[in-house]
Amino acid sequence: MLSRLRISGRGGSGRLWRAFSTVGSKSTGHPASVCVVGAGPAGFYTAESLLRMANGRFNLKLSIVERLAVPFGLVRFGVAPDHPEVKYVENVFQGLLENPSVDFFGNVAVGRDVTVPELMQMYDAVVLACGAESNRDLGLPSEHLQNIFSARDFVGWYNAHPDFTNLPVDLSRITDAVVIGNGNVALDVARILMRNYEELAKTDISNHALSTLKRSMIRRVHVVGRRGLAQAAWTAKEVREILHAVSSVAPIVADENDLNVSSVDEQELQSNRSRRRCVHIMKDAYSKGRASEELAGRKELVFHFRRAPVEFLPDDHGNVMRADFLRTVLEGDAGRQRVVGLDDGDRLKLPAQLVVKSVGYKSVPLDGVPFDPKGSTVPNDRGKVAGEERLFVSGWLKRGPSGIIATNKWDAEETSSMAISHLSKVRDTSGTGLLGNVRLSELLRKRSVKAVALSGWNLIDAEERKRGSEQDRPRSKISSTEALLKHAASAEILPTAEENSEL
Amino acid sequence: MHGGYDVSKVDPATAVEMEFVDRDGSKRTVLAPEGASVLDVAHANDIELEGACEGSLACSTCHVYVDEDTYGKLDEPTDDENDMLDLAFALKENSRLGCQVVADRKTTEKMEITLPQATRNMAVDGYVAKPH
Repeated sequence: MLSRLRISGRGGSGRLWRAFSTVGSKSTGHPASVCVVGAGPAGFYTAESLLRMANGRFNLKLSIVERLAVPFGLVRFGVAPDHPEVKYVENVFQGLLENPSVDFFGNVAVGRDVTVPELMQMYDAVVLACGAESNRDLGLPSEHLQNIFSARDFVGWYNAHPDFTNLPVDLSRITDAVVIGNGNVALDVARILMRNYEELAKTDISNHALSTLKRSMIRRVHVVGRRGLAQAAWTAKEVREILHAVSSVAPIVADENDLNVSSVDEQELQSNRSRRRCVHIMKDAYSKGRASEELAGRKELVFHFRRAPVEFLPDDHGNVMRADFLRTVLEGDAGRQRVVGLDDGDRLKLPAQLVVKSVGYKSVPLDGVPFDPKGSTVPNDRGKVAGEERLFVSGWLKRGPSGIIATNKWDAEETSSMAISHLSKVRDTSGTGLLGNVRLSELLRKRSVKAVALSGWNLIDAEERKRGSEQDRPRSKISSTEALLKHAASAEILPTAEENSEL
Repeated sequence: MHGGYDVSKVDPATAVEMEFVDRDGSKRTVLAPEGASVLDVAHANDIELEGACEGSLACSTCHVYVDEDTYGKLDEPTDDENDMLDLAFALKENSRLGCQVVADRKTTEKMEITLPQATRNMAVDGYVAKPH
């Protein structure tokens, strides 16, 4: 019998999350406990594969430790609010949280509340799945002017990430925005900036972003890439959507010559189905032409290719007012083309009172853990951290910040099989006494850390859904850690030794 | 529940036979009611196929291989399905999304559905995942 309160008011496929809520929960096998750091896609898919592989061999207790008060990482804070179907995967992850072998520890920051070496003493194995919590820069001195944001911060702002609630975004005097980068995040940002207010108001976009976007004066968004159309990293669904399915957008290619790919590009495209299809979708959209009356009155989305940012210019108040770009060329063989900037006087000067830099994420090092700053990853062999007995890594911290949610499945599978083979090796010597989840609970109580358990998250979730339903939205997100903790407070229950013995 | 059905209530007289080849090579024949998707059939029979977006064409986690005979009889994948297949791991010529292939006595009778390797043993055999 399990004594903890469970609330299961989630929509969607009950069957699926119920399946995950029981995976690996048979209490047979040698007791072992594993801590997964990070409650995003990498952490959850690692938890799922660990439980599945442990089934029958280990009686596994898993702790999922998350810096923020709420779970789901970039599914909650990265996926665009107008893509609700992509977030259905939260139902899969919720099923794992409800699994009796799993304990959630929200609002517990590794590095602040507990260290990695401490976790390694408490658990038989620790898996770092805390992603990429920083962003790459352009390396330009002028890139920190007011109204220039990294996409990570900007996306966090419109998705109610507690770290970015107070980002100073003012769209009331802005007509031209520039988004730098050619990936799905750049398209997300452009789309959110251009969508009609009425459409955004039906989503779970943050309340502060919704009211800011209501006052938006934006008429034009430029999306600028250093490389060509053939190298763009976006995917077909997002390209098709922004070209054809957003009624407020009139898409334009600044220079139609950029729709022609070179013979080297052709070679690259042959081995990349996704990019080949994206190029086709783009070319197709422009070869047909669109009736100008159909597009009249819409906001302009202007694609620029092979342009590298070189300088941002401020107005008298220090706000960005212009973004300048140089022409680039691609040099080298297929698959190894390099971008070379040409300072040939062909400077593209775009008016821009808002600039969003979407040029990639970057991981940050953790105390006591090896780190490769060049690849922005923790050096590892198939997920086992180099030189550490019981430390593992999965997701962006393992392979670098790229890929889709599902990429983490295969990645997690690899890391989990390494972790399980480690547990098999140490099973005769590893802990018999208290399991890691209880040790961690005791340490957090001693340090007065206000951890959010599953029951606390379920209260937050129910409150957000209730507020959302009053406004005809899927949820209205609570955007500050303080308020999130307040809603979770009445349910604070951390695991105890008695509860483990009930399993 | 999304598109689910009760296996005990499938009428064998009108059902469509499907054979699933699991990731370990083991085979299982199941009866599916007409109109049920491969994803529905997998879930109803506790065959491990994720379907994270619940059949809304927003992910690639119900990716399967369909035997070539049946593949030829099915309607071509739509653009939306192809968009997601772009992102599927270990894509092949006969790849489809399980949520888009529907049991139909004319096209899918005795179809064989192979689940892609979950690369479960890759730490053992040295295989390294290279997604799309």
